Amino acid sequence: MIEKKSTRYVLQVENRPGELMKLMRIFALEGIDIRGIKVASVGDIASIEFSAVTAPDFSKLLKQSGLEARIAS
Amino acid sequence: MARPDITQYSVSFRNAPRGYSMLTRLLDKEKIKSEAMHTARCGDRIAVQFLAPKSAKLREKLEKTGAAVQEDRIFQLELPNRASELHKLTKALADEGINILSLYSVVEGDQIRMVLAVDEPANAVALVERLGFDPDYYVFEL
Repeated sequence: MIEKKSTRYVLQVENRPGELMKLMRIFALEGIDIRGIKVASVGDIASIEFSAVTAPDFSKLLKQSGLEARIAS
Repeated sequence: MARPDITQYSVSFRNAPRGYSMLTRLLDKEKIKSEAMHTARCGDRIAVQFLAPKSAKLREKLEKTGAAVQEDRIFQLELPNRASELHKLTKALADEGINILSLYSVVEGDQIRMVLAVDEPANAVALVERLGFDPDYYVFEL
């Protein structure tokens, strides 16, 4: 069986209700398979780190939702 | 058997090398297990989050290192590892104005187990129950 390669992403977003939901909506609409997710927050900033098998235009989808991710590995 | 009163400590500091060093030394001395430890950069601060039995003494010692310390009540739940389920959960919380402060997850087969800290834990647990999930304040190791 061929294991699909996943990528680890890190996002920094405002620490307020609904920011994680924006990301989850993309996952749901695009049928993206999540391998793990972590969220941490300090003050006004939250960090979202996740691993997922994503489509080539994933970064574009994030930007359209007002989220910008850094590829961590 | 009595369930231990587990809390999530969020310890944040600016000076990462010195902060890490003091924190790890303290946790080692206090025999805090670090399996559920998560580190993240939030702006110019480093946040280290870990689960441990609630202790005023530990909090006092953490604060003495100069770090900002926050304690949050946590709960866990399991849900199918499908993006649509995760969206349903996060949308319901967002619609109620509940903010997710932290989240850890472990994928276990077709299920995903999450440990969450939110700004309104009682309201969030009631909401999660209404969604048909089975949240529990008792959190075992991830």
